[in-house]
Amino acid sequence: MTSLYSGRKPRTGKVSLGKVESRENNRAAWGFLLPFLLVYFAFLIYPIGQAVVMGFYDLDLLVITDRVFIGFDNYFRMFWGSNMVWDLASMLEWRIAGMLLIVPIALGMRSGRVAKVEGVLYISLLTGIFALLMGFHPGLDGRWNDSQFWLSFGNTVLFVALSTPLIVGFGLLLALALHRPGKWVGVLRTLFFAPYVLSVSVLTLIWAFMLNPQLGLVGELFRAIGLEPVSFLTNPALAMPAIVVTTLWWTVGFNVVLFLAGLQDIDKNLYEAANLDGAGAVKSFTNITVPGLQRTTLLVVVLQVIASFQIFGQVFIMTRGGPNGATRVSIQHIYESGFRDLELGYASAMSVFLFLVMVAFSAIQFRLLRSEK
Amino acid sequence: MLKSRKSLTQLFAVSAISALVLTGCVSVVDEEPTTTGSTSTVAAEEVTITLARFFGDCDDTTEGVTDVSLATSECEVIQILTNAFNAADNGVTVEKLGGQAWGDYYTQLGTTLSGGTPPDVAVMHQHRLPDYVSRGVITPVGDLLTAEGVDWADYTAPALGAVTYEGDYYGVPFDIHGSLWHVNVDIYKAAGLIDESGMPIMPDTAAELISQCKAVQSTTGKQFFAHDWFEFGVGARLFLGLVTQQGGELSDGVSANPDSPEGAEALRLLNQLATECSNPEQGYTDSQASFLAGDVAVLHNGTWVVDQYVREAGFNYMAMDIPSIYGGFGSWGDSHLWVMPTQSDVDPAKQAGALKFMKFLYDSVGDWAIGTGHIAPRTSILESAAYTDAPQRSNYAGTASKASMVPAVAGWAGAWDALNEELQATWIAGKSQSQALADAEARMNEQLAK
Amino acid sequence: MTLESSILEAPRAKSGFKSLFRPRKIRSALFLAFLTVAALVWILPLVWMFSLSVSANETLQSQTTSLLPVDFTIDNLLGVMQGGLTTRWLFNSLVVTSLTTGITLVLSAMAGYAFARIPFYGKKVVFPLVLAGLMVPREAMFIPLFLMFAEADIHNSYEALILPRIAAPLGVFIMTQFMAAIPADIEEAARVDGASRWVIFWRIMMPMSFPALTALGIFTYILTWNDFLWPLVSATQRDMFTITTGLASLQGNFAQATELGSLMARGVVASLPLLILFLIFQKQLVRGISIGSGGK
Repeated sequence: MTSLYSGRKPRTGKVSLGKVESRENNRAAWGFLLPFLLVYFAFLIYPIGQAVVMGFYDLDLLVITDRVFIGFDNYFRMFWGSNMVWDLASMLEWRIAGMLLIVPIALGMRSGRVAKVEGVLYISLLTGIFALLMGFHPGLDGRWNDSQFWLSFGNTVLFVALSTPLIVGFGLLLALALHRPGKWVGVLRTLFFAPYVLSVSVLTLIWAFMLNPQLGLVGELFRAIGLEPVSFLTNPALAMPAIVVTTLWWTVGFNVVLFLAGLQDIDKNLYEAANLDGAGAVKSFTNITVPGLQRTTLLVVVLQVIASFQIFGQVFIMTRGGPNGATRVSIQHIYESGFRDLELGYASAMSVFLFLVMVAFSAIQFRLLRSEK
Repeated sequence: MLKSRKSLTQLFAVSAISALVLTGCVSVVDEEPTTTGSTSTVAAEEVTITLARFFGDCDDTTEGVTDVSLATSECEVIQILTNAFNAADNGVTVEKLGGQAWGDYYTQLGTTLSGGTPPDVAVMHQHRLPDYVSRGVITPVGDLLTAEGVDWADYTAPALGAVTYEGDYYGVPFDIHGSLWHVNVDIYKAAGLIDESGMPIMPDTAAELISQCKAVQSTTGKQFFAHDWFEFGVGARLFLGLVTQQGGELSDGVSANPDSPEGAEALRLLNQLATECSNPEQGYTDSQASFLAGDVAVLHNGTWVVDQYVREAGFNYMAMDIPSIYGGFGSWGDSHLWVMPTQSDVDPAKQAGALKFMKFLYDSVGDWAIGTGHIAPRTSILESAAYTDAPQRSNYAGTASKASMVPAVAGWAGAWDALNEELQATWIAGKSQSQALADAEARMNEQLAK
Repeated sequence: MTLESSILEAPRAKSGFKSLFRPRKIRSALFLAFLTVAALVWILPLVWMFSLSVSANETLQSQTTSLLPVDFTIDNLLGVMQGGLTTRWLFNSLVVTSLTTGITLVLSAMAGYAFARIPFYGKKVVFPLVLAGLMVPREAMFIPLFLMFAEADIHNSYEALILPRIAAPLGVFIMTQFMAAIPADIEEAARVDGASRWVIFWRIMMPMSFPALTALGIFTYILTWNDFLWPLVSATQRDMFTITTGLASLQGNFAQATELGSLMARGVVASLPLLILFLIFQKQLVRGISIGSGGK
């Protein structure tokens, strides 16, 4: 084996094999981290910090020197309304659906996968949100302070719930199919990944046209099989699914690439050994591929959830949040508040809320999907 | 593998070095910085001002062109005019910043204002002006431009109203652009709706409108009415027009009240049009496509397409004012204006240059109107031979003097979006009309209160 | 050995004429055929886009449903390419994107190595802090960032376009996950031999992270190339536009109703370099690394 260094004597005595926090390790680690952290603090943390601070002010986009400290008023405005009442039956289906999430957690607690303390925490969180908090709504003469806030947040959560399993699952399937040698497979990989290179404006142009009943390919298809073309983007029930499909077509390549890279790291010898033992394809998959992809899956799922929470471009250009607000998402509301209504402080506060929600989701995902050593 | 990493490293090193070298070259070749006034002290005459506008970027087709009669689009008209101004010996050079796609313009303008480095001259829609003026970021130019020779009295009432805010003038109106009815005269003729002089008969009442619709659809089988029902909020414009025709108003300048008897009637008529006379699944592109293909009798669109339709319609085409079906005249109108954002450090030379350019734009409204189809905002131009000779203009002269401009109230952009969404919900999503109007009013007032 | 072949591998007649009719080969061919058909359907919108880009604008105002070009013309494409500043914009994009990608790869890999391989005091705090950066909506922090650069008066420059983008939590996250998955034995052997962390990083970790680096490089390249909002407000002088903002600036009002062909042509011109880039580098994603089977 070639030497990795030139002529240095092997270390004698205690060798830090990288298992212990030591001064040497600390110095080395910070040495590697420093370049990144410098840029990160300068160009990410500092602006974010300013944005957080702006959330506590009544701040106008055009006259930012003219600001008034208002504490938590922005948050109060976002969350609350006038004449608020509580009842059990409001939004019952959503609340029952949310409470059903307790079942997998309870099962996890029983099987030991989820620690007791953690499980209790999750269950109380779910109960607090779905059973309690969601019961609040404006009464007869009341209104939400911001009629679009909870609407857009609900749409965002819906989008995350719809898109994540689809785009992650489809990405995995494609990666498995494309993980093979051969020159034609390279072309296939490129074909499936190709949509990702488009910018959002071109993407939305293509799909808005395709889905147009009069002018689009999809409309033609309907007519070809004798059906009346459906107008997806003007149908409140179909608009969100249409956006999901558009997003899937656009971004599944990202997940495919990550899964492909992850499949690389699985030791090929494991497959050979399993094969010699007579294991079938399904068994190979569950016992080798799935555990081997655990780190990658965590990566993909976390990134997908974060990306889905931040969806904006497709919706804004294709449906402008319509029809009837069915596709308005949080970032659109933030953008419009900041750049159209010129309320920079309020927009910052809403961003902080969205940020905290994503942090919470990610933290939970990390806990639930962490790889067993 | 190490080899390929090395070559990649080399590639990056080469690009890094060339980038640095070229950045150096670029900054030498670049125009003078525009935020400080030090450039004007040496050559006392030549000053450069920055201009921000939408309308697109067409430098390629207009490079060196100064004859505005050669223009074929909004972009080309304004660019050629700018070229002409720069070529003239007036000591001012206009440097155009960006050429933003329409939708992103206000994001960029807002950001530059926020950062304290706004352009010297910027374009704006009339419905946005109150937001900026009320925050004190636009300089009033009434007296300043009178000194340059602008005759404010020559402006039509709607145009002047567009730039008036608390008694002072804040910009130079460039046009009025509004709703028009684009008529396929051949279809009207086939349905027997032509008068003796060959002009299409415009209805006087809502009932007459609907009976015309039935007549056209039964005798010719063509769709009577089309417009963009959901893409760019054209439906709300017709709503505004219809409300105004009944003598109502969407806003009194403080709050909004679409939930009125006039609003209810306007919405009722719109929905009737949608279900019985039109195709509510059509957006901007498809409604226009249907019209140009000769399948629609009336297309409700704007002034900016007149010249295009004159060129492209394969049938007898006429652009007309929105019919007065409730007695009064009412038709949505907006305006493009040129404003002078307030600089934190006023450079007198640049301000003088900006005012000179704005006076030039005032002089050029005729070229703009003739080149684009928009309505000229000045009476002298409207009455000039050049304007009246331009295709179709005389047919929609009514809008020129009586367009119902959007209310000049801060926060209108958000209120309009809310109104749009609620109205659309009735003909797209089947929302109840009374509920939609109530929600629209609540949301509009929520926006106006911001 | 891929999953596919592991599914189909089974003891069979090994040689001779019969081998041509091995079920494995036929199944494999069918699978490939199915995949190809699926890919072609997948690519239909892009085919349509290409076809529209070589169709005449005027005809497209009424006829858009054909997969084949109507009134074939290369005027749209020519119009984009011959644009006075298009080459300049492409060059800007190339420089900014290449530099951003290169620097991001190095910074992220270094940080990823530290997080994945070095236990150090403070890791439990710093790593979540870095991840949190992923979750901040860009639209929220974008005004403070703009103001920062405006005060330093460095807008309209390559630096302004590159600097905010090289702090990429996405990169660090990806590199951390992949570097953590690399088995520790080679590294430990090197440490025992006395190699420094830096040497290990460059000579072992980086080469072994090739798929991850390729993936991250591709993503960063594409995301930076297509970045719109930041270049829109930072590079306002025409000659500093990137290809993305530059082509967007050519758009007039209601462009999709009047010049659909040109719009698609611009999309083609802007995306083609990225597609070619992917085609070249996608092989790296699936290059086998012989783990545990000896040296390189």
